[in-house]
Amino acid sequence: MAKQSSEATNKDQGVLYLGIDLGTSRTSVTASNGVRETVASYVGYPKDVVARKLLQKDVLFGDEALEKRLSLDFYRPLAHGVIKSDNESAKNLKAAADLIGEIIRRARPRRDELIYAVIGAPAQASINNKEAILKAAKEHVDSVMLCSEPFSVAYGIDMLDDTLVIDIGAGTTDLCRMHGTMPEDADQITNTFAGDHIDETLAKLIREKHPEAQFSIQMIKSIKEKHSNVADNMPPVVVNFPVKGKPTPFDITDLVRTSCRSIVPPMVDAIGELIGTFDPEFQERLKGRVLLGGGGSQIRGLDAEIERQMYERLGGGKVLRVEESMYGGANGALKIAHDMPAEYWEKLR
Amino acid sequence: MSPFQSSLFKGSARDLFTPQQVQQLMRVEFDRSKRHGHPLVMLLIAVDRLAQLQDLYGAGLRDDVLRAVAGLVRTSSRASDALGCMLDDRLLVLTPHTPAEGAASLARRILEGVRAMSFDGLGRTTRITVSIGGAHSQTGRMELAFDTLLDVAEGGLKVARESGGNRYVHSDLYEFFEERRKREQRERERLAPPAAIPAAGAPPPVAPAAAAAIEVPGEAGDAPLLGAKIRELFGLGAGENELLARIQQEVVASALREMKAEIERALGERQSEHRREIDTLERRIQKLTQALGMTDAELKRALSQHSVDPGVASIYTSVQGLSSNDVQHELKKELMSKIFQANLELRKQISPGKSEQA
Repeated sequence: MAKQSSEATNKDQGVLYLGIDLGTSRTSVTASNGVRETVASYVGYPKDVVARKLLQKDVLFGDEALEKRLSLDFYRPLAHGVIKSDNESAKNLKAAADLIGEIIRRARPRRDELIYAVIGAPAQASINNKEAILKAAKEHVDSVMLCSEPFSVAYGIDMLDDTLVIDIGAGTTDLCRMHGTMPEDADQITNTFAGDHIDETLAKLIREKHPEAQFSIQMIKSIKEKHSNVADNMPPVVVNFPVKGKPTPFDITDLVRTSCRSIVPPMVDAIGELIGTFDPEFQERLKGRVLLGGGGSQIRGLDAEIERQMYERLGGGKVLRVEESMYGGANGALKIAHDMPAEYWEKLR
Repeated sequence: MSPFQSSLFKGSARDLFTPQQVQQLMRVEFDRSKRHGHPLVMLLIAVDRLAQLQDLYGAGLRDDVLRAVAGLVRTSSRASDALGCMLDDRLLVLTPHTPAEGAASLARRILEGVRAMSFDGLGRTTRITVSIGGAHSQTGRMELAFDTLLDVAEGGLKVARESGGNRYVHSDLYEFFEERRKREQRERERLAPPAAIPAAGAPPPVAPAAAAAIEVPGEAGDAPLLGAKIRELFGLGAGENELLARIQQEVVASALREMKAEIERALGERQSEHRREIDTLERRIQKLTQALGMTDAELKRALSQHSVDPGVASIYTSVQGLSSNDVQHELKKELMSKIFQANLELRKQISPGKSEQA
């Protein structure tokens, strides 16, 4: 935010705290004015003048961008959990900045309030990524801080001691060991066996078993979000895919189960590693407090499946789900923002 | 001079003359050519279907077209030629010391140059043509009078436009067309039924019985009157032989049929012309409605950008901070401090100078 001294002095009507969860798939905000918003992490810019005239907008976000993607230069700036640094790096950074600006606008801040924000950034975000996030956020808020995503999930539900937080996003699964202090690098493991991995696995399995079926990765994502399940007795999943233009039903129950289960073994490997390197005296307690958050925690039967595999490989374990998977990270970030002393905010302005 | 003309023709390198100036020049040049015996050519140029172009694509395109055509004529003619504008968006070129062949060559260059032009209107590329009427001060058979030179050029332009446009008609051709037109007119007059019966030597009136015997299918409008006139022309008294009565009957019926067909044809032409006009107007309405819709949407967008959301007020009126009643107060205090330190460190890495001040 371009701060003029007069503007700063005018901001005497209150303080708005924002907790932002910047995710690969969805970006969410919860605010101290009661606003809670989420937007799919897609950004699109009209490809040409014709598209601009048709869409009547300079930039589109979320599902609207996804729907109109054929007319757009389409970006998923946080794919794989970080701001992509490929040959379109500058454009991805701009898309990420616009996305942050949009989610802050959706929190509907008042012009006469101080705005302090905490952003849950991906654990493995690079310094460039963090700089881009801070720069984008500072355009819109008075002071901003970053914190680790899994830490904010744990902070949100006051599970700061001997808890193993698993944040299953679209691009990455972040595991973080909480032991009453700030987690360090050794307390965190990140892998890419997450939502996108399930999509790719499911697409591959369908392609192998039903080569005649025609589908896009967006269709697969929709199917996963609706039918994801790892239980042995899951309800049948019968979906229609076009075959040479004709909608044809396919039973993909087993394929959905297999693809959803594909993230569990690497997850249990990581759990085992974090538990195995923890103080032996507290390992049992850590196993009994595994906290599942993020969009991936909505997969039906996932907690039971992780418990089953933990039992087989680690001798037992107890998995809990975060109540609000979509806003778990944002709620925790909001709580951190609220608890942060005033002088810290002032020093970072 | 129309607003277009005043804006178009002023301030250019070689300004066009006004109609009055052109006429004055024409008189001077005409006198000079008569005195020295050198030829002089006048060309009158008009863009074909310019009104329809304006209807379809707006006045902007019309101005572009006229400006481009004037530019082409200007570059195609000599510096000593006089170029001017007439009312109704016609251009007038006066070229002294020019034989009829030279005028034809100039006209051909203009026709070809205009055919090669293209204009963008509402996303479509449009091509145009022009019609040119030419008058030469010394035709093969006679020397045209000063006052008729412009009339002849206008006549040539009229013939060129009525022949479909995109052509040049000079004075000789005009005479040819004029002669042909007169011949056709004479032919039509010969074939057409007489408009009035000569008073002198009028035949005796038709007997009521004979008139009643004539059956004319589909008589309407002027047809009864015409039938009566023809019957009057052929008027045969009662008791004439049947052959003549039958011939009379057939001639009358045939004439009425022809007349009816002619009326229908004329009506049909008028209707189709009206349909074309309606089509043109409907297309214009459609385009204007579309443009209005787009303008409306743009206005709404601009207005929406200006409407600022007042926002929703936070529940906090002051900066909060960790509550001392929190059961994990000490732990959280330490965590807050570590988060702050980590962020301070991050700022140092990003912009070392600024963080030192913090």
